[in-house]
Amino acid sequence: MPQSTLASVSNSTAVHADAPSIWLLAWRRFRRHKAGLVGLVVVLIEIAIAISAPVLIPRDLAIDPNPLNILERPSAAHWLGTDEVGRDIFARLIYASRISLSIGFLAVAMAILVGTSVGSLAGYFGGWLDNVLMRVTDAMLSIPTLFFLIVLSVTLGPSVRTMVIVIGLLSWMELARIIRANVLSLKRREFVEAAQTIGARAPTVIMRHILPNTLAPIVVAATLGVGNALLVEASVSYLGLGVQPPDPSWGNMLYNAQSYVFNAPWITLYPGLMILVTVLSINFVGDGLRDALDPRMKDR
Amino acid sequence: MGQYVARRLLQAIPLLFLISVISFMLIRLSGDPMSMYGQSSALTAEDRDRIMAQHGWDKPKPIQYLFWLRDLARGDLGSSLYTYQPVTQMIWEKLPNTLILMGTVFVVTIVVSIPLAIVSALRQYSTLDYLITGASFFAFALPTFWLGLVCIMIFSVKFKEWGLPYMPAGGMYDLVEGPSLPGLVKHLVMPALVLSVVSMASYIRYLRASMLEVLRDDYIRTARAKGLPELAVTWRHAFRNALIPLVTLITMNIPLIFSGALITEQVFAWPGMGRLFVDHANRGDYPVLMGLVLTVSVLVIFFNLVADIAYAAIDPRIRFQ
Repeated sequence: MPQSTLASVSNSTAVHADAPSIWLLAWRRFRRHKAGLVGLVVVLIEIAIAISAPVLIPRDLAIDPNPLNILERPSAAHWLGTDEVGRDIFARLIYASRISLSIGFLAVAMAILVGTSVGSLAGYFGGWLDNVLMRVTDAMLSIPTLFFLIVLSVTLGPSVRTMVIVIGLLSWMELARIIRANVLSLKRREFVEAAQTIGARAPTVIMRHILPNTLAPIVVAATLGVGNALLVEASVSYLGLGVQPPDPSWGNMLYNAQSYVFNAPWITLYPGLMILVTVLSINFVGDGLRDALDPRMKDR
Repeated sequence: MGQYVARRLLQAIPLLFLISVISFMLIRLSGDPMSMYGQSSALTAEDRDRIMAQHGWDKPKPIQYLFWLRDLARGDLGSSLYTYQPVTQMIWEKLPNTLILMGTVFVVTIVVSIPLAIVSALRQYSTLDYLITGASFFAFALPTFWLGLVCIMIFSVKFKEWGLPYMPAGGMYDLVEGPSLPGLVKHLVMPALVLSVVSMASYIRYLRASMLEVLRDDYIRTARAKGLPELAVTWRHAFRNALIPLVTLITMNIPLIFSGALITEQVFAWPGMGRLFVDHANRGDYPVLMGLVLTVSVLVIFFNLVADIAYAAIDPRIRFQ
């Protein structure tokens, strides 16, 4: 008899361990968000294509000028036509996705790092530190960031790395505010006080106990941030102040496009559509994640 | 009320100070102003020293900042390193053009997005609602400059080809006719609409959410329960409260419109501050860039202040927070 009791006990713990985690529950909710699901598939396909680009299509087509096929219309040979120096637009779009997507994701990683640090320090310690950090955040929020971005990009020398750093450094403010607010409410909770009582130090309390509980808003803000970073990269590169040729990015493919709107509209059309589809998909994912991770936020 | 205005004005001062420090740091610490002279062999080491001393660039950075601040207090933002024009004069010439564009965008955005958001919320989950929210989601993901290029492609290039009345592709006035009001309006339509579309997206999303939230409130149920006609419930009770977040929205949106204007002015060759900025960014013309960043920040703070004060005038609760 005792054995069977033991078995049933272990059985019940096993059942408990199998109980869906919050992430599994969130995934189940996310699956119901049709647009989010479609967005996720589109983004995953784009990432797969970006990674396997060298296998799919030769890099020369995207980089090397070819004076023999300047401004060709879309055809069987060049699916989306060629640009003003004879590069294949389709190949450039694919190679550009490597650069543009990397900038989008890395810039957001940077913004998360800064935003999380600022937000949790301000929220956890409060006092003068909170005051200083939040005033800086306010000041940065009332600056039209594109102006700074351009100045920084020019002075640091426009490049992919510069774009990542600069976009990251100028888009952490909203996240910092969200995290500060969450840390403020979490630090009064019993489990945090318990950790403090047994002598856990501030970095441990923040990293191990507070931040994991505020992951949901970080994930949502980060996803929407990627879309925004892509748009910002595109704008700055369009002005010729971001990613530099011959490297293609979705934005700098449009740098010269304006001179050709009259006779070669395909140069303008496709990179823009690419940006639109990607940002739209990412925003759908973000919207789906918001519904899945934070049901209270629904309909906002 | 007077007390509230005074308090808000006082709060703006440290913010301005902070912005001036941040912009000085970002712009002057990151670049070497002498780099514009390149490795030119025509300049001897003494020449370089002389130029550095002339601009005060040989002093420590904090001292440079104080000098810049002192000049600023006298209304002097220095002069361009290229055109040698005073920066204040350069900005002053372009400021009205940018304000015309932004003012139009602001009015169009508000006038169009409020009714759309309200209708969308009142008919939640109707076809119209899906259409409006879908369109705003779409607009949210649009690159402004690309939308501009596509509009030029359709309304300037194709319409001309098809013999339809077409829109001018850029500029502010017709070069032949010279400055005139109809000419201005004609040139303003496309840039203003392009820029409005993007800001409308966020207005509609937030205002719709706000209206939906208000409609679920108890006092709306009370209003219905006491037998008020639906129209009175919607307009007298729900609508006015749903507009409360409008001020926050405007405040958040103004810096974005400035950034958007920078790009739009470039696409449509609109002779405003954004275009001036891009022209001089390429050359590392620091005095002009700093002057523009500061002007734009001051304008943002000023508009925010106006919005806040208007808000307090409408909603007395704000004054006492």
